[in-house]
Amino acid sequence: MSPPLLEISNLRLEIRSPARISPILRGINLSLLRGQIRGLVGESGGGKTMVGKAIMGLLPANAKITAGSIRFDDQELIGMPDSMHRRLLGRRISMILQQPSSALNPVLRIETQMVDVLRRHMGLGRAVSRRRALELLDAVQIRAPDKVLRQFPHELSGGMCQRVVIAIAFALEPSLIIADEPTTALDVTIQFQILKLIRDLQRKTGVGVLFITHDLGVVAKLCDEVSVIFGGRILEEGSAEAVFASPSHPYTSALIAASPRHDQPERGLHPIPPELIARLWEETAFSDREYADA
Amino acid sequence: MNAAVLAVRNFVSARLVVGGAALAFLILLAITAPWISPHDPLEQDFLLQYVPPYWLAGGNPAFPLGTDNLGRDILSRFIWGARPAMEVMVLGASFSCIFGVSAGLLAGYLGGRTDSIVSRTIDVFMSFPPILLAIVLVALVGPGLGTVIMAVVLIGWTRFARVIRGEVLVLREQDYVTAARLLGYSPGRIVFRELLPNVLPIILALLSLEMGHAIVVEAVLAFIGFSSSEVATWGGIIADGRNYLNQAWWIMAFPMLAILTAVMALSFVADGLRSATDPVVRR
Amino acid sequence: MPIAYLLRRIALAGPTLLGAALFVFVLIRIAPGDPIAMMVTGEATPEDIAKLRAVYGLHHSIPVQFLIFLRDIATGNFGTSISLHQDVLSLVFERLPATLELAVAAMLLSMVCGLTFALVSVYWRGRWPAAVVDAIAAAALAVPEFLWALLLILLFGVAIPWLPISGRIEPENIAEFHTQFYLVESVLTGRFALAGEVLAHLVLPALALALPLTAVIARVLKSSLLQAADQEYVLLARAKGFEPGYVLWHHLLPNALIPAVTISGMHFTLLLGGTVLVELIFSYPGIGNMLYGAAINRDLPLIQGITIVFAVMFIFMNILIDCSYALINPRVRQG
Repeated sequence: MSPPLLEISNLRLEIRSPARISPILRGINLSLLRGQIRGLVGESGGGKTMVGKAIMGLLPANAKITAGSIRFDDQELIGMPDSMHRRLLGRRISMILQQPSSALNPVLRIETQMVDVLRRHMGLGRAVSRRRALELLDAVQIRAPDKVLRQFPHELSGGMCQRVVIAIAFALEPSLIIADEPTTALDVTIQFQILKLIRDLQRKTGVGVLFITHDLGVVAKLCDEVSVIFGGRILEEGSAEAVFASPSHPYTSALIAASPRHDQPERGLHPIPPELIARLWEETAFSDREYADA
Repeated sequence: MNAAVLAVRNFVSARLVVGGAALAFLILLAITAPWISPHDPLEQDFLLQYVPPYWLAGGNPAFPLGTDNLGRDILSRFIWGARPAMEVMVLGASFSCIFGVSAGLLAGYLGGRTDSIVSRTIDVFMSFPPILLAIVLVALVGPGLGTVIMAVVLIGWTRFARVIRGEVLVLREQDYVTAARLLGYSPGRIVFRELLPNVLPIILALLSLEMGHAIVVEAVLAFIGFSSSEVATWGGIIADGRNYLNQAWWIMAFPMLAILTAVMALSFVADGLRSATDPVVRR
Repeated sequence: MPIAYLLRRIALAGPTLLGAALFVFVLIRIAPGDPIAMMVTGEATPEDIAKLRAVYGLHHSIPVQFLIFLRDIATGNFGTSISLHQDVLSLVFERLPATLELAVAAMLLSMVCGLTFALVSVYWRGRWPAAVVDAIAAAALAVPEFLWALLLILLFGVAIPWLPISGRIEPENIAEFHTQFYLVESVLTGRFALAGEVLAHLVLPALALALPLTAVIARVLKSSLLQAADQEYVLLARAKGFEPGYVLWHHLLPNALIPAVTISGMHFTLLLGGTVLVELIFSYPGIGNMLYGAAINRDLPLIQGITIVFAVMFIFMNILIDCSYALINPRVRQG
């Protein structure tokens, strides 16, 4: 069996400010096989965005990886020289971000922002890259791609911007795409279209996707596998079907129960019980102490 | 380490202390000039021309900073020159502040026609180089302390007015202002009790900067020949010294140093005030 | 669309121009002392004085005088200089190119230096080049151009006499020029030695003028660069695998320039005003320098002429800045 596309082992990360050191990731274990869509689900502040940034090597200046490894296609990413890492970014690994309208540079035309990746990594000429950009816009179902190329981001709707961002992500046929809450900032109707787009493209190109989100419904619809993250640790993982049908960790059950069910209005709302959260944080602190002593 | 000590520490930042100290020193010089000045600043002695400062060859400890082309003691003239500088600085900046802040408050809070008139007036004033206005005014009215102060106010009030107006425009939309209005408070009371305390930090910072401008204007006008004092002005000494640059560079150098110190001290104070009162920057 | 914006902007400036003219009108006329009495010599008879009054329109009412004033300005009739006995407008236009060359040189210098300082400050953040640059900028910020000019004179006049500290060119070379734009003309006609001499005289006054503005530009641009760096499109740009230098130049800078231009733009006009002092200190023969003589001699027509020309330049400059802002910010172009 070929090695996983992405293998994260015991990843520990902390944020350092002048006043204190805050541990964010406390030993993350995660693996993604080729062609798989894995959801990384958890509430805000659980550290999931940091996982994505750590893989990309785009952590903020005050974040430090203190232990663990991230292997991509059997290459260790942590400690890799910046120049080598940059060669991977865009070409083998790419990213889809949360705020589509601010993910695109407001003073540059769409064409410029799509074409720069192509020319940088593939050395393509202007005419060739332009044609490729048109193909890409077509693939993400943008009508009148010719017109869109000449426009600026503020002239496009949020959904259209996100399609452009997706097009850029798929442009160089990467092996891994990290999608960080790509639909959270969009209308519900557009959300559905974008998710379908991502899934269709993924099926067509066989790219591996790490889908970071807090929305269980999205995970259920889209992902093959899922990892549940809380307090910087992975609490549960498995195939999406299995985890949703019979979750083994109480937090996962609580998360599933907490999702509003529009098809069962009489059910009411079930927030996650505070006692559970408190217990989980205790367990986290305990495991931190174990790690510190080790 | 209780909250009070921390608060004081926050406020008394290094810059504030250094700037404040330098400024206090200069003001002290100005006030005590008649008593601490070693010689009569107007006394001329043609036998003692171009004496260098005492630490250079040919220097004379009786004249620590040397003498000028008319044999006058530089140190004494330097000390006396602080008087008009400090007078203009304090009075000019204060009046500029009072006038400008009032205009800004009125324009910002009342809006409508008042705002249009004040804004247009500011635009007109700002279409002229400030120094030009100052020179023209003094040329027309004649030299003297009052004219120089008037010139400072004329070119400085717009700075206050513009900034305060902008701040008030934002502040008057705040909930506590709406609440005050609903309670039936008069506009005057709202402006002075609610708005003014909130813009006070900005006013103080602007005031220190304006004092710096005032000193420069006074020096420049004196340099050109429109002196604000019969005894000595820093600008006047520099103008004299310029003609004797090669024989006696020290004439020019010391008043320049004084002006530089004053301007930098005020800039430090302004910075220090800004970081002491701005909660975001304090972090 | 940009043309429409320009025209609209010019129209908006109309009232300000009018206000400025009114301001000058009022200012000149509040001067104590009878202007006519200053212009005549002792032997003037009452008839001469009355004639002069008529010429200067002083027998009309104030509003009519203002209208005559406006008409005169519009037709370029600024009167005759009392001290120099020449037409004011031609006097001003003779000296204006010198001031323009100085101001433009200073502006270019400050833009280039300010940009460089800001980029160094951001790219090498936390390391010594940034610290050095920050220190220079902080010092330059507080010191007005008046002091810089004096410092430069002291330095280059006494300590290291490498550069000339007065004038625009050696007197014997004045005849070599047809226009008053010495630098432009000498470069365009290929007389580089001459251009070098003009440049040598230009360096110090331009530097004195440019330093305060350099500090402002550096500080503002650095702050807007750092703010832009937090934006998501920067993350995406880096996610595409571009080096930090490329991201800085192609992505951060165009965005950071927008707020920086607005704020710096406000200071450009101050630079123009600074020419008055710098020209005086360096004995540079521009219109700023001419004001000094006019002021000492209470030459009202000349004072008036110089003031109005400066006001027009200021207002024009503001229009230019607004337009350049519209050019670099695509979002403003439509609106």
